[in-house]
Amino acid sequence: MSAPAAAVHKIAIVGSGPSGLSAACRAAETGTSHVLLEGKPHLSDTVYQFQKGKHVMAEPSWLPLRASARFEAGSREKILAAWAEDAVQKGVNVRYRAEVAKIVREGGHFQLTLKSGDVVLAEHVVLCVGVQGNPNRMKIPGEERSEVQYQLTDPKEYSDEVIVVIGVGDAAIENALALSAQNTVHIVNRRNEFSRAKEGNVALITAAIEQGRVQYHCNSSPERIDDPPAGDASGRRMMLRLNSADGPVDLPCDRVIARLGAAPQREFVEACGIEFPNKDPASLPQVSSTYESNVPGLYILGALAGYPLIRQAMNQGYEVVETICGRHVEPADVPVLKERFAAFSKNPDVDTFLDIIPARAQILGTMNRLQLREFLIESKVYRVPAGRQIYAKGSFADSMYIVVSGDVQLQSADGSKDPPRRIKTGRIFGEVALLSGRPRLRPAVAGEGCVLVEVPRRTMLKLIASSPTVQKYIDRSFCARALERYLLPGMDDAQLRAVVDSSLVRSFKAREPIYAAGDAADRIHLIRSGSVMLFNKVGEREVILQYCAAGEYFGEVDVIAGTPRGAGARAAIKTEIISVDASAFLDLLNREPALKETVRARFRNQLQQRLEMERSPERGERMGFLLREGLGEATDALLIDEALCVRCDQCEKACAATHGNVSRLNREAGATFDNLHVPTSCRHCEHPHCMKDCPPNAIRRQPSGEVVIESTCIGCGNCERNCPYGVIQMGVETPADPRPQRSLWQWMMFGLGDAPGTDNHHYPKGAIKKAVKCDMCGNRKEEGPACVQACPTGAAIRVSPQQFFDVLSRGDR
Amino acid sequence: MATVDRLRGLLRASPGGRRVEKLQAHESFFTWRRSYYLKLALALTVAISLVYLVHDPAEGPSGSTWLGYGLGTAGAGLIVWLSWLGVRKRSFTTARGPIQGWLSAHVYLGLLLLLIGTLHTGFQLGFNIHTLAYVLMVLVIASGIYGAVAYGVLPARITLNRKGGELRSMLVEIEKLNDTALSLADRIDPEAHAVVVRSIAKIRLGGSAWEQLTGRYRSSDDARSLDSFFAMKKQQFGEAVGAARARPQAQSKPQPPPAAGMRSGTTMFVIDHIFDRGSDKAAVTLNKLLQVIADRKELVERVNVDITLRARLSVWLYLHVPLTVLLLVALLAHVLSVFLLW
Repeated sequence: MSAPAAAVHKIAIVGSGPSGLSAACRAAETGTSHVLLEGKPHLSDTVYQFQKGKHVMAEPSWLPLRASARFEAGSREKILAAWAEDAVQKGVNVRYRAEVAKIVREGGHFQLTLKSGDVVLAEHVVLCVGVQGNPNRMKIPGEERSEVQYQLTDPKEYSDEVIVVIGVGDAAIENALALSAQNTVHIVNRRNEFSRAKEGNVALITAAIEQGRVQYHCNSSPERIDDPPAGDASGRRMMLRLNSADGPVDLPCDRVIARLGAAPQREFVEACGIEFPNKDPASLPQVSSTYESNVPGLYILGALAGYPLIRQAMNQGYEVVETICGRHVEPADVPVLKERFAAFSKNPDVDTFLDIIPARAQILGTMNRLQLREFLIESKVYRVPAGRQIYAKGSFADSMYIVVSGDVQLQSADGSKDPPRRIKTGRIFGEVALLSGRPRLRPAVAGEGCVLVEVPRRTMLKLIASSPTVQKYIDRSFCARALERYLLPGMDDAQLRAVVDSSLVRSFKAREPIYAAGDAADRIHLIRSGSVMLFNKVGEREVILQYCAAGEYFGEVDVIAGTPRGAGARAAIKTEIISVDASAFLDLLNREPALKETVRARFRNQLQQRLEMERSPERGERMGFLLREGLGEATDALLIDEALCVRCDQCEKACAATHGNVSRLNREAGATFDNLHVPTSCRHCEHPHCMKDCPPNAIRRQPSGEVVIESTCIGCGNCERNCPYGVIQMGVETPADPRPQRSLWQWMMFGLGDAPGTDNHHYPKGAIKKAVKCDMCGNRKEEGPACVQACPTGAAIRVSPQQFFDVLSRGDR
Repeated sequence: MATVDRLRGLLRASPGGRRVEKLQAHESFFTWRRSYYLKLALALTVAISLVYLVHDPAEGPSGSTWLGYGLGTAGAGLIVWLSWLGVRKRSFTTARGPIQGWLSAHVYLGLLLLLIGTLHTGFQLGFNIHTLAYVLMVLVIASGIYGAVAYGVLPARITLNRKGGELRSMLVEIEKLNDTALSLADRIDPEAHAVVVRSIAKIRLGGSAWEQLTGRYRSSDDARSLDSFFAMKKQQFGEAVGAARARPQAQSKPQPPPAAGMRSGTTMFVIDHIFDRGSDKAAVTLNKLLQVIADRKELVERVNVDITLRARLSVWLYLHVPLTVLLLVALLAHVLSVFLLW
């Protein structure tokens, strides 16, 4: 180990991504002693790894940029060039290939040990390492050779080589397949089966192996890499020894590509003494309002602190240097927060209100200042005049509400006898619809002096994930509300308490059994999110008897009858259920005769439906097919009756014509069963997979139920990858044509221009691609979706699956 | 089933469960809005027929009586309106209401046009522009009738033939089977490889318009030659297995195949091959190859059936639309000549 560097820097910045670079530029500009440590030989590796020419967006647009480096939306190259220039111009002290292995606080300063063994000393450390992590290494002798690599940017770069791909994850399979076009490829699997990859990739690699395009080595792991032995006839650059079940195998090759996944940064970060709130792999360390971690003097910025957008990260880089240098800096978000608090006062003092708000609502008390700021910026705060409706019954939820002043009435739904319910200051409402993905059950109306915080879906999920206390609070609230609403109408909180106490929230994966026929019936289950099917086994086949959507309950038939389970239950999709102890429920039934009547009516209905389904198993099969196609989580799906479909593609043309010449539906693609076709088109899921990881939060659910992508989309493609049904595509709406648009008549009479509804994919060079998908023709309120309108034979229908399953199970199809 | 049995009695005593309203949206264009246009067309048929029977002009029924003019005007209007469907169905952004209703009306009122047009002629036909317009109209309607029947019958057959898959995936599957067949043949011998390559080159999907419509595709002799080749190979393997068992174990290196006497040379080669690699493996590979070729054949046939069904589903439009354009021209000539020359 070399001797420690003599100088102690004021700031050491680890990682030169947007936040790190911005901090370094500010430090250089103000003449603060600093060092920027970057593991790679270039700056900003994450952006560097973007595909060539990728357009980088500059969301969120409401946030002003305050940094010493430039940043505006543009191509990857332009942004990287601007950053490199700024770093040179400001005189940033950067050390390349300086990957930090260890950070220890010793005495009055930090000691940063590099991979090379060098030590850097600093008073403050700013950690800007992102969340991508470093690729796992093989840890075998010879892996330092230049022909051993851990990523592959362009498979076309190599030809006529013998390449060994280590690993069988999706990345490894995709690399092996792409390389096999021009090279001899071997793939090495430590185990015997492909369990970690996507189904589609497994099918492709199995076929390639079967056809001999890829050589397969199972139960093998790499042991060492050497030069080829003298006189080796293969003429290859090196020799890889595999340790296989049948003994060692020597494989002459030119290149080894190891795709073994990435070690999350967590291990490294935790070794620095930084704590995480829980074991959830998605959880991030907590930081103070000045981005300081639980280790004093160690700051965390950017994605690792929960700020994945470039603009936010760059602002933080600026702010953190100001904080360290002892200069007061007003966060860039103050004007935005002022606007949020305008509901209370004309010129609000932001800090005062940041104190008041968490004192008002228990659920907000768990957040630190920085989280609260972020939370309030993402939420809306507003005053609602007394008597105004906040939402209507039957609308879909994209948010929940916290009452911070005044109160709110949840009114009884039309035709039901439930008494209205008052939501007091500090309480939450609207969470049932948000968590279940089902429409709102009763209208909410503002009371006197009502001020609300409207929390959008993503912010709310982030809050739940960050704190177990919040999770518990919301679970209990949901449970009481749902039980009162669905299972035990009209009960008040006190009566419900015994049942809520006995309740249990459990989650199930898609197709996971909940109980089997013959099990003891000791619980009643209420579906919190997802859906459940009840089935009978006939021989090896499962005949579906009933489909239960979120918000419904099941399993009560056996409990009331006092028999073991008559049918099995299985989660149709990822499902959360609340299980209630049977005895607590039966007790309540005996005490409340009115309740008993309601339950009896449902009980009869259920039984009749089940008997009908047993009589005609083909309906169950149809239902099973639809559930397999993911309709169990849809709120509105396009179905095609193939007995009527004349394959004219009018639906696709209509879609393209009404959506900038990019059709969002593929009629032919998709599964078919018994003349029932589920085309590749958005199902507007109850819990949209596409929303999971949208950096600019551009995917929203409208009150009428449709899931839409807003224009703030940055074109990152996450939603396209996350959608299990493949209904999102990256497209460019045809920009306004400089030539005059041809009319239908000009096309019809003289063949000028494109036919109406032509799917146009001739994009201008450099066009920005954004995610597009079905928006249910939200702008065509009166006519409804264009695809259904344009279908000449009535084959295309849009239905909510609940409606469809109801019809199916009653045999009206 | 104890639960259900026990409760079945309970249920019998209870009144029937609630019924769910039938989905309004899911109706065929034949029965759109409870066959509104069928009923309308039938009513008009009865009304027009009655008027025609009662009406007794002095010079006999023709286009120039008041009824003739009436029917002619109605018919001409109907023809223009029926043709307008071509514009309507392409007006995705401006027009309102489902096209399904338009198509339903198009079918039934189009059939009614046959009656209106015929009665308009008063059965006076000849070799002139007027009769040409009538004949064109009848042809358009006849092709339309074919189309309506095809739309009613063929879609379900297409689905049935595809067995739940898509055309594209069937084509991809054929390609995959080809690749698999090649790599299997590679493991047998160069001759098998050549035969498989030849058979791949001979695959024919689709064909001439006539072949597509009739569904009778010219078969290449490929199937038979493949069969005979594989029968020969199988026999060779049978012989080879016997020969290999009889061979002395000492000889470890295979003899190079003799240059002369190709057939026996291949057999010898195969025997050596089997001796070295194990006879079971080669036979298994051959069986696999046979299975792959059979699967591919079945798939190619199904793709051709698909092409036929879709050709039959859309062929009529190639008559219906151009004839409509001709009809519009002839109609114009008919109307002009009646008013200018009469």
